[in-house]
Amino acid sequence: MVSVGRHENITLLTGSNVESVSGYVGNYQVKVRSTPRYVIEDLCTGCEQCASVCPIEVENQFELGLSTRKAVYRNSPQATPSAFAIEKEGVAPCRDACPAGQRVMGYVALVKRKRYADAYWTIRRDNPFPSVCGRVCNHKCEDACSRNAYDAPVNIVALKRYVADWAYANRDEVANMTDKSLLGTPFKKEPTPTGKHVAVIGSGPAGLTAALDLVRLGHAVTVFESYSVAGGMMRVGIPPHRLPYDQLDWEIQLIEDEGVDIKLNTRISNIPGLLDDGYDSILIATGVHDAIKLPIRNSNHPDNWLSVDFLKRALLGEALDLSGRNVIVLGAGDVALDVARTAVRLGTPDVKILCRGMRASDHEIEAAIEEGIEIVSGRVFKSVVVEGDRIQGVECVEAEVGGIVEGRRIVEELPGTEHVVEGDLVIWALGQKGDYTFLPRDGSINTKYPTGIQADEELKTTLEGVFVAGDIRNGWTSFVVDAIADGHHAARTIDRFLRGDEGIEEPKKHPRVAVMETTRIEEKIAKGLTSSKDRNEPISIPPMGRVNNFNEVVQCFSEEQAIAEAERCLECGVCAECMECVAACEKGAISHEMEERVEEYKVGAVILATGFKDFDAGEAPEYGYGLPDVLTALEFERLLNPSGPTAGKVLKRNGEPPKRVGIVHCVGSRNEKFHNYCSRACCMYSLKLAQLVRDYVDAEVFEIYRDMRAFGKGYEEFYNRVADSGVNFYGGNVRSVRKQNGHLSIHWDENYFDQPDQVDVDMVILATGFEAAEGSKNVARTFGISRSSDGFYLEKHPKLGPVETATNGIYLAGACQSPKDIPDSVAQAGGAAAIALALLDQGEVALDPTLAAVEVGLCAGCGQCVVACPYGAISIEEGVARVNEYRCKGCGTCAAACPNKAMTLVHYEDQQLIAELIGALS
Amino acid sequence: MQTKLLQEHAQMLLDTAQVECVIGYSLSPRGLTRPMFIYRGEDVEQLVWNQHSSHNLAKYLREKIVDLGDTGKVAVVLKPCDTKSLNVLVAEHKIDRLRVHVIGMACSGVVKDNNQERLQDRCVECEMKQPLVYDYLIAAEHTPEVSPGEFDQDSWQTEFEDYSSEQKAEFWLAHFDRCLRCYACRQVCPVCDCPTCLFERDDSLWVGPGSSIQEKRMFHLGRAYHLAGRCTGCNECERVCPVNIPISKINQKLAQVIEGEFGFRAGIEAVPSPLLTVVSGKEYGG
Amino acid sequence: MFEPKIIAFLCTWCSYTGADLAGTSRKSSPWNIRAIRTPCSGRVSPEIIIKAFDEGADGVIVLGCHIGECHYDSGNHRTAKRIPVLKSLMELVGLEPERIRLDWVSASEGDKFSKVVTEFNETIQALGPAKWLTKGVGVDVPVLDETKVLQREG
Repeated sequence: MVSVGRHENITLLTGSNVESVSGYVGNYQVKVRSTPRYVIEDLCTGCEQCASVCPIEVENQFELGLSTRKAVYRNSPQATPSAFAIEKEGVAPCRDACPAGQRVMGYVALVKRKRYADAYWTIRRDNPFPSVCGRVCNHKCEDACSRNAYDAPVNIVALKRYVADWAYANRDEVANMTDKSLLGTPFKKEPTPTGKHVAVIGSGPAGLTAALDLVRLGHAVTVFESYSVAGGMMRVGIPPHRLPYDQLDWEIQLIEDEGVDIKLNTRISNIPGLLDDGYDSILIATGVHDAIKLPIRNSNHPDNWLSVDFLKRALLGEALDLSGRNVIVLGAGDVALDVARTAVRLGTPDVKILCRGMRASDHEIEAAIEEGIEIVSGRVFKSVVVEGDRIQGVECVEAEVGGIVEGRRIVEELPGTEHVVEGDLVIWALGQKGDYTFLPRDGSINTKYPTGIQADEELKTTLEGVFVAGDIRNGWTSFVVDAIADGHHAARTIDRFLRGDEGIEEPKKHPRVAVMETTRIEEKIAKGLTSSKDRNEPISIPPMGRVNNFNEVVQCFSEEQAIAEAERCLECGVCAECMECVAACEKGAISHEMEERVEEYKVGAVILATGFKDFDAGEAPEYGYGLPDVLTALEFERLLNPSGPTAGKVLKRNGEPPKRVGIVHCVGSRNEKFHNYCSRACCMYSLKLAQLVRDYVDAEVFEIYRDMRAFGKGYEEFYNRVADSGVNFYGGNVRSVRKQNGHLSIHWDENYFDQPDQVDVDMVILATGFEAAEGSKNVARTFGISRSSDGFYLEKHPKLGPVETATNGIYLAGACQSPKDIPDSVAQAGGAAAIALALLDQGEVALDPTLAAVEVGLCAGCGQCVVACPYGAISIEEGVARVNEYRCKGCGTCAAACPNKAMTLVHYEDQQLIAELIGALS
Repeated sequence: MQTKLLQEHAQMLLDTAQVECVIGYSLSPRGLTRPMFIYRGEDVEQLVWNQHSSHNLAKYLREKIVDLGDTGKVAVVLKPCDTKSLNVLVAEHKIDRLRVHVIGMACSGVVKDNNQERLQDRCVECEMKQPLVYDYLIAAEHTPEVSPGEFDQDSWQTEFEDYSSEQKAEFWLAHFDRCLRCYACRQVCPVCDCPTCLFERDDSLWVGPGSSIQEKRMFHLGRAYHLAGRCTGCNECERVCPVNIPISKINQKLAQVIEGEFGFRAGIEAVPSPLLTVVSGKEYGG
Repeated sequence: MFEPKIIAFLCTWCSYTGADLAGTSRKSSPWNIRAIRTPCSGRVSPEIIIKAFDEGADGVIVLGCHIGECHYDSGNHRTAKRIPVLKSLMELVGLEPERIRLDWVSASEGDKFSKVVTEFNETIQALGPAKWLTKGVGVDVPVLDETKVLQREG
């Protein structure tokens, strides 16, 4: 193999499939699609460091499922080429669903292995606010999780929070570690300064994410924040019982430590002025901080508060005391619940939420109800009732609320149900809108209808150099993760604006999303590769202990819970792109950006050597496959191999060597139920295995055979030697292998009267036969060759053309043509090579004159011949059929299909056939 | 009024130069409905639509498009059954669908030539009141009641199936004897369009031009086989035969065989006949 | 004993070779089978089968490679689709469907070739000569009976 790999005239294309073949003998164009290896072959030294740090483990197909391997792997130490390869099934559905592209599978797998720092870097690679998303995200990842089809999705949010909390708790250690989060990104810790200066307006998630990316690309960034604290809505909009400030502040501090300059208490209202001041580019990321209020009667009474204002005042430390105030919250989303639960903690004795239909997440609603908040849904508010100078309540009607159609809820008010809900403080939480007053008066930065700032796909506004990202872009609220994604996008577009061709490109996505089907999930769980346990939920502080303080309500997972939850991940995409391998490889040989290649090669001849497939013993349960210590011959070979799953020892499942081994012949062969043919090689390999068993362990060996086919040179002699060496031979057709009295019991129909028909052993080896290789049907189609009824490729003639096919220029070698052993395969291969060389050496090709021909004057161009031809040798050109004489094999199917016989077959023309008919019938 | 709507639409198409020609029906000087080609907006008053609109106008499409050269569209008035023929032609790449503007007419049946109180046999059990494809639909209006007649396809078929081989042979030979080789059936068929018909060759390889029954039988059988899976049952062939040969019965029989063997009915979708299509993976017996 | 005129369309690679094998293995087959060899059973058009009957054949048998084994990949699939349609058509106009047969014989099936053509011969012998050829109306075909013409009116 090594000499093949090294030969200068041989190009090895691995991970490749022939997609299509066109042309004809001597002149084929072969299109090959190669899946990328993701490892640069010339640089990889095979040191295995990458595999030792990879967190993903899967079944090892090379070891036939007898052991596991990592996502980055090499089949065996003797592999040619000897480089490693990474298996990527596609992008995992969790990652695909996340707007920020978080490598969910990666950090979950690292949590499973207790590598929390590595998990933290994996999260931080795409998300500078793990503590926020780990608490308040709308988790599209969980909605897309493959496990939804089986039981419940992995609790990704809680796992992310676990890592974030761990990182915060160990932040001093983390500060001293090497930051791996930049691997696999175009960012650097200490980049060359570009001399460009970017102003970011707003320090919310969008603004800060963009700012961090930009400094990592070498630009200078100043963030202008109008409030007295940074963080935007994360800091002033989410109350601390859901998101404590200290972790968020730490994450913002890390951003500042990397060079982002945040100027607090600075409101910008002169954007063109900033450009004049020398900023090369501006990013507007101001968010939507105005709450919506309906213009109903008395809605401008001063005791009508706005959600955003209320939360900001509470969260910025103003000592609000709501004791004695009865609060009515108008609204149906998460913000309404935040407002209500904050109000509770500020002392109000009574809070009601009025809405048409509740839209918040279920667990938030539950938590709110537990805290004594009353939710009154199915209401439309009509007016605020004021008496004197105090609000008495809100007048509403009951309504039947249906679903949401085209973004609007269907609401039917029920007449005659007007009533007043009592309260003296109304807080509006109907939604938010943006403030556009800071934009230039001359309209040089256009807004968009109905809300938002106009921007193109590069997030450019109508003013040169000014970009927009985050909630303000569309003018309505989204989730934090959407803002982070927008921030990353803005950083890329601004970089491209500032540096032109040198700016970073949009990341490419893997074309396939690897959702795992239910059958595969069940298999994985049955094999013990994934946990079958139920989803873990974090616990919350009971209501009594939380309504009078702002302590965080939902608790973090314990380590046991986190690991148990992480074990539920199915690892759909296999490789998670966590970049641990990149960090470990000293040669820099790993390249996750490699792409599929499609290349066309011009070749003169093709030799197919696609091999065979082992008969699946699971299809013949009578032979006991599936019972412990019943192995196929191929699996047994892996046991013998020093680089195999048992390091070359012959061991039973319980770890002990066997004492009695039975070898069963003809499994899947010579059997009407499976295959009628004899697989030719099994008798001899069974003898070899018998001898090897005796070499490796001290065991009694029993061979139960129907016939002994020892047809080759030296084969009979070998048989005799093995027979003389003390191996027991019984002639008979094995009927079953069963578990009986603690042993494996083999039963057969004995060949001769009065011979044993049963033996008890503790290990059974099944001599499974050969089948046509998987996908041989497609290969045959692609190359235009036939298969015989047993599925192997059809040779041109069994005696006179064993290595050729009916298609000129395509040759066969080895077991793909029929079951055979290695000496015969090698001989056949030599023959195929010789014929191929003879063909290429000729320089010219002689064709059979029996070809299809068109009488152009009669041809109607109807195209029936084109579809009839099995070889695609006919095309319609300029309205008439044209035959490619090199592809035509001379079958005449086109001539029979042609309605008015414009198409004919030379030497078998209709005139000739009819003349034969007339002669024969005279 | 369907006619009014048709005329207005045709006028619009021609005046705005969306099409170069409208193929529809008009009345002859003697009051018989016949096909008509309209090229100018001012002529659209000649267009009619009535219960005598039997002709399958899909027949004229291929030649008309060829006449126009590389560009230019043709509008055509098609009944639901005619749109099936259009599907077959499109499936076989004989017509570029983009060059045809189909004016689909909802139809409740057309009457027989020589008994205007009765619907044609093919309309009696027709369930296709709406065209399968159209670019512009002219919906149905209330039409005067016309009695369907007493023709019962099933009982004819059962009766015929019971004949012995000899009786069947006699039946058809007697009919083929009366055939004039006028080729009207072939000429009116939308899917029969070879430049030189197999049965009209100068070298008479398959049949001569003569009038022996055998030759005429070969013509009819051969043509029926060529239509297998492609004939949509418009029955125009039978209508135009000057000697009343029941040609459509042969085509119907083959259509039933095709439906039984392949589950396929011609013209329902723009998909070619299973007799012509490439072998699928299922059939490949692998 | 009536000796049928039977035309057998055989494909070069499978059924013709099978017929050869039947011969060299000394398996007996009826001598009145007239073989017409084509490269593939797909070459056999329904029109030529009708022509065979028009030229006086009493029976036509088409033998090709087994499905999945066609030497030309899928020519026999086309034949498998065409022949049943042709049989229905011929049956409609009064030819017994047993007079056309399609079967599959591989190059190694000399036995099967012999068996199939012998069976077919016996079937045709039992049916008698094909009444396909006709001299004309009034001679061996009766003049049309008006009541058998389908009325187009009323």
